Amino acid sequence: MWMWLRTLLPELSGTLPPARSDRDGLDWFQVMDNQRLAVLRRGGIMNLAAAPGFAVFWSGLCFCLYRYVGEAWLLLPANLSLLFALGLFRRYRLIVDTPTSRLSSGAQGYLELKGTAALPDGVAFRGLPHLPVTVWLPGYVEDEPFLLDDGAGRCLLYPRHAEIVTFPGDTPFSWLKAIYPGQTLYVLGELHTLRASDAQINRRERMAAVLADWKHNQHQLHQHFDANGNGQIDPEEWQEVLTAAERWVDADIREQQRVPGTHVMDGAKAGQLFLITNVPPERLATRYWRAAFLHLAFWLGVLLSLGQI
Amino acid sequence: MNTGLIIFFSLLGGIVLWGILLYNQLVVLKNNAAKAWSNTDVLLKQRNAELPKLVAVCKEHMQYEQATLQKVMEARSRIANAMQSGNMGALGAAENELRIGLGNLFAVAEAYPELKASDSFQHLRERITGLEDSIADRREFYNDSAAINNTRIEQFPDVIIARAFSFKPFRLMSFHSEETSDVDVAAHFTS
Repeated sequence: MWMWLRTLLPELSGTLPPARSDRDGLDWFQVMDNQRLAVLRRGGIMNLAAAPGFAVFWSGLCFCLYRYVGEAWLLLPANLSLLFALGLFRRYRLIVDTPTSRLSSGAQGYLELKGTAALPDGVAFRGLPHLPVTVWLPGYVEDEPFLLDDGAGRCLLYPRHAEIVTFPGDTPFSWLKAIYPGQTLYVLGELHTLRASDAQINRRERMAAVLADWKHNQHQLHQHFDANGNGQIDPEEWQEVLTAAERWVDADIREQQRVPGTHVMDGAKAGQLFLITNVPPERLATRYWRAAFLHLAFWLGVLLSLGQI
Repeated sequence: MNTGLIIFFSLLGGIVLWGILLYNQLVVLKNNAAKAWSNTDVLLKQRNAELPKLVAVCKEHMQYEQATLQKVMEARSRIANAMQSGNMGALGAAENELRIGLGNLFAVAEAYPELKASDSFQHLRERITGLEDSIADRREFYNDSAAINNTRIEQFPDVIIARAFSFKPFRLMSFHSEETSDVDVAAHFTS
């Protein structure tokens, strides 16, 4: 593996690098180890149960239980399989039954978004040296926010509470599970839009605040509105003050309305799934459905066979 | 404990858990559709709040276009009534009327250079057009949510849970034929 990496990255072929790490102290085996654990941790138990390798492990475990412990003990993995089937079926239905929203209209609530991954403005690099730029790298950059751009708008994703399912991108690092800038993303979660402050849009309150501010500065008030110079603001002059304040507030509200809000996804309410993935949703849904079916079949199979015994 | 008893309870537990899962999914779909409607409702209200301002600005310059302005305001009040009564059919029709009314209003406004140059008019036109685009997007989103809900509550085995717990279908916001039919460009040139 090390030799292969050296051929890919000539800069690592310096004089006498340590066998497992490069000149910058990057231990590739450590990277892979960290990745493996982080992918499992962030994907969660349900995605582990949907992995093809899990079927092999599960079959081996069941065989050992049957052979060395007793067939009745098969009920334990069988009932766990039922729970896996329910969790996976729930994920499948969420992907299939959640409508896709466009960020241009910014519909609020639980929805799915499709777009491309991007780094936030002002961030040029994220990840590890000698690796391609990533927006999310399990084991290293897991909680930093990144963007989803659907062509009509952008949404800031906070992956801290997300279930993240990745597959290796189109890079020479076929073992590296990460999300790269420009990759197609699929996100399922609760969208909300942050604005400057909706309360500030209230025209009457803003008028009162502006007038109070102007009254506080009597000198300037007289300078601008005391037309007859008698040192007082007469009723007619006060009308002018009100008109000016209205104009000022209206212009300010217009400016606020022009500024688009920031769309954010940082979790989902009521225990709903917050899913971020670079796997095409159709493929992921099929994977969940197949895995759910297999787990359910296993559960039923064990119950029926034990019933016959 | 008897293995047979464990098997029986496992089967029973599996069926009950599956039922709970289906019920919860239907609740999620119902809430999604309700939320999608409230998303549209918010924008309809915002747009309705902007229309009187637009009409007031236009009135200052368009003394001879009272009928056009009147049509916009009538459509607006029909929308407000339909929203209040939750009548989707009437809402669709009123929305269509308003869209035509606004189209006419903006077309007529071209003949009034002072109005066109007005900052307030420009801003309101921009804002209302932006809101119209967002309403169209959100209407589509609502229709998707409602259609998914309506399909699920009629599918087997969901229909059993849906009937037992009285899950109701959502009415779609209908598109009128004028909106979805192809535009006859030739007719515009020959007329």
